[in-house]
Amino acid sequence: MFVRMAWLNLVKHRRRTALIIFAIMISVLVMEVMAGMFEGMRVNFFRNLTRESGHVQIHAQGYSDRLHPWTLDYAIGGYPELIAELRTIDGVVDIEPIIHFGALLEHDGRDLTVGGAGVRPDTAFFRDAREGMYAGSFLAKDAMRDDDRFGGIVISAAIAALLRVKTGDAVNVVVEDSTGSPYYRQYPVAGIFETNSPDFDENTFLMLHDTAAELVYLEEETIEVRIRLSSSGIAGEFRRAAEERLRSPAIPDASGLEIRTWREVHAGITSMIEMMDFFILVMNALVIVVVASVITNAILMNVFERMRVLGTMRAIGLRKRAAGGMILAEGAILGLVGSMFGLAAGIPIVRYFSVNGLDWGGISEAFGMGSSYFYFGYAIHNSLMSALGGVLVALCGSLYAARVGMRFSIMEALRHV
Amino acid sequence: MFNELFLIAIRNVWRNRRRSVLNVVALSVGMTIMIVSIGWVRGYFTTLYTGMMNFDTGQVQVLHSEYLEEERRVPLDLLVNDYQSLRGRLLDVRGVVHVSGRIRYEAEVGNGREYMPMVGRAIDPLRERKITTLQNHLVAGRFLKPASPGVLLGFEAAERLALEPGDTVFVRVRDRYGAPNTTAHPVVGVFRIGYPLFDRNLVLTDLRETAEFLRTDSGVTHVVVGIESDRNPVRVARTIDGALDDTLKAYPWQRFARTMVAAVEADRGAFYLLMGILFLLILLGILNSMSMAVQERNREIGTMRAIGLKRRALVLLLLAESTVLAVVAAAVASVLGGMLAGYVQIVGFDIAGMMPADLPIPFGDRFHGDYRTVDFIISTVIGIATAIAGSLLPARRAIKIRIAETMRAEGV
Repeated sequence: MFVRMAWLNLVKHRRRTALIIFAIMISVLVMEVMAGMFEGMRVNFFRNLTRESGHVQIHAQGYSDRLHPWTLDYAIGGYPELIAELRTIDGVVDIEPIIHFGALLEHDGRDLTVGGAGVRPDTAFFRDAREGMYAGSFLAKDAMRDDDRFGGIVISAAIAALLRVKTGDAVNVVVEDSTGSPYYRQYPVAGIFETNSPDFDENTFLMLHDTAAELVYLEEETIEVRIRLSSSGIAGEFRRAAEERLRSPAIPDASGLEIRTWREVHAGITSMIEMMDFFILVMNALVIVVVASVITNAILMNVFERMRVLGTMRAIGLRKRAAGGMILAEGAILGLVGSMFGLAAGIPIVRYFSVNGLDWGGISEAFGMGSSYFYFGYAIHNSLMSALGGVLVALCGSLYAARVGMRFSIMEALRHV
Repeated sequence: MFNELFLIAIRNVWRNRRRSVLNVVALSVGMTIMIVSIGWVRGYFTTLYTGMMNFDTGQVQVLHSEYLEEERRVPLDLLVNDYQSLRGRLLDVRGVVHVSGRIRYEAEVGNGREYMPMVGRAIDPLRERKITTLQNHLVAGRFLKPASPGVLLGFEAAERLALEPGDTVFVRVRDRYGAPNTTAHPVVGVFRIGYPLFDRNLVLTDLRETAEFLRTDSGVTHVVVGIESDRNPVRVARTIDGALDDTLKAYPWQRFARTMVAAVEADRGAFYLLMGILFLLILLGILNSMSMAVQERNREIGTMRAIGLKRRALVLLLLAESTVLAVVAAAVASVLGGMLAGYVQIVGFDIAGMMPADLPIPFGDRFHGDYRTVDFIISTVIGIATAIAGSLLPARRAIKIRIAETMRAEGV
């Protein structure tokens, strides 16, 4: 009955009802879009992690404090045994060795300093590069010709343009090997890729892990063991299990290794995301304060306007609590309807930008999105939270209005102008 | 008459205290956010934009016309040749006050045991200090002197390499023709500007000395231009560009700070949007509140009109009520906003510490807002304007009320 009466009251005061619903709609819309934006930041960050940098990285002790990003001084020996052992831990999806090294690519008098990555031909990481191939092919052992014993290199379109090379052209790769001696070899360009990340494209080329090991003179050694887990949440648990396994004498070189989870590898971006979470909370709180004052005011007026009606109803037997319940029911209806409208407007916006993205240029990459495009992220729990926020604001406003309205005695209510 | 109307307005606001408080809360929250945000956004311009020009870009730069296309290669084959002669010509351009040459190069800088990759910047010490302000950020040693050997290192780089003024630093480069070259220099100074990219990655060397080991002769990669403070860098760059031959091109500083400019513009856009939404909500709240007030005081309005209150005066009365609300809110917002603004201006925030280290935005050790009295005035004016705008419709409705009908009405 309360709901029906509340509904009739709302229909009776259409203009005010529309105003309150509009205010709630705007607040839910703002909360939904902001939540979508930050969800996108979080989701893209984790997707980027999963795709490219994994959930856990293992290096030789001291690697994280190295001065030179491409130093070969911190190598992991006996990595095949290490990988075989760690692969048996629950939750491991992909695990593979990667050699990072600095190189000078040179072709026909033009050169470029870049970072090289020695990876397996079937690497589960660097997927953006693999999927972004538009000329030639990705690293594949069976595609190698006999005279290209060391395989070719895969470069980005940006690097190809700077060096003015195309697939099949020979590029000199000059390095300082693990003994500190300069060394170079010539490799054909096996493929050219383009990803959404200009930063990655301009700074990275890929070759086979074994080829890289031979080039930089790492025998049975690698620089990094990268691991992708079934979920980012189990990274800490995996580390504890890995540390336990690495104490086993079966892996003699494992004592001096550092195991870092994605939280430590990306400490700067992780703390920034946490700060953003706080920021969104503050912004939502401010919007809610303004909306709450508008809604409370409007509902309060609704109550005062109907004071004589309420007084009459109470005079013929309606209890205070029931009258308050009716006002609360009105608030709940307003909150629900406003929230639905807010979601109806907000979800398509979030959905649109989660598919098409916004080109934020370098700022998006600098924030660890792995692409110059910033994509929103839709999550149903965000919509529920936004809707809940809208309903709660309306309920709180109604509760206050009900308390104020019910303070009046029947006589006062009947005399109220 | 205005005084009387104003007194009645105050009485009416006081009479509906609950409603007034709610309106004041909404208005003061909006105005407080506006006060804090205006100074915060201005801080971007005074701290970040000025910082970028002072630390890095100058106001305008002249480069080889193909340099930016191949910038990633850090090319030493795309030079601005005969820099001294160009310098003379640029100084003749209206608005240009300082011109200095630079060479940007890739270097590995080390202490003899370990090396780290850094960005080398060869500068003309006397002329550079008129355009950029790195000399004001020395934490040890001295600035470079012309024809005096030495390098300046960023604080973080010096710390990681365990180097201090007087120590010898080794600089490994490849010259213009690709030949490797290692030279030893004394560290003459250490700078710290609170911009991680520079404090960790930048090494400054003397232009003449660097030209020798890079074999760039009289060429430079960048010609940095300082202009009169009231000049627009975009226009000056256009003027300079018109005077250059096809092999050279002039760019305003924004071209070299695109990530930062994009971030600031995005943040500014978000601020305008949020303000727009908040003030729209506030306007709706006041519209609702004043509509209710007009409806409630129907008979009162009728009586006042019957004893001679003119329509114009009635409108003024209702607008005065909104203004009173906005003024009270402005007072609250000034106190709240003033405290927050004071904190942001005086104490500031360590934003750089919360951001990824390679973010190309010079937040400095602490980011400070830039607050001025006008921010409070702007917020107050916008608050009053919103309140008045919210009252216009109810006021219009009030003057249409027929006196006889209101006198007949019983209450609501």
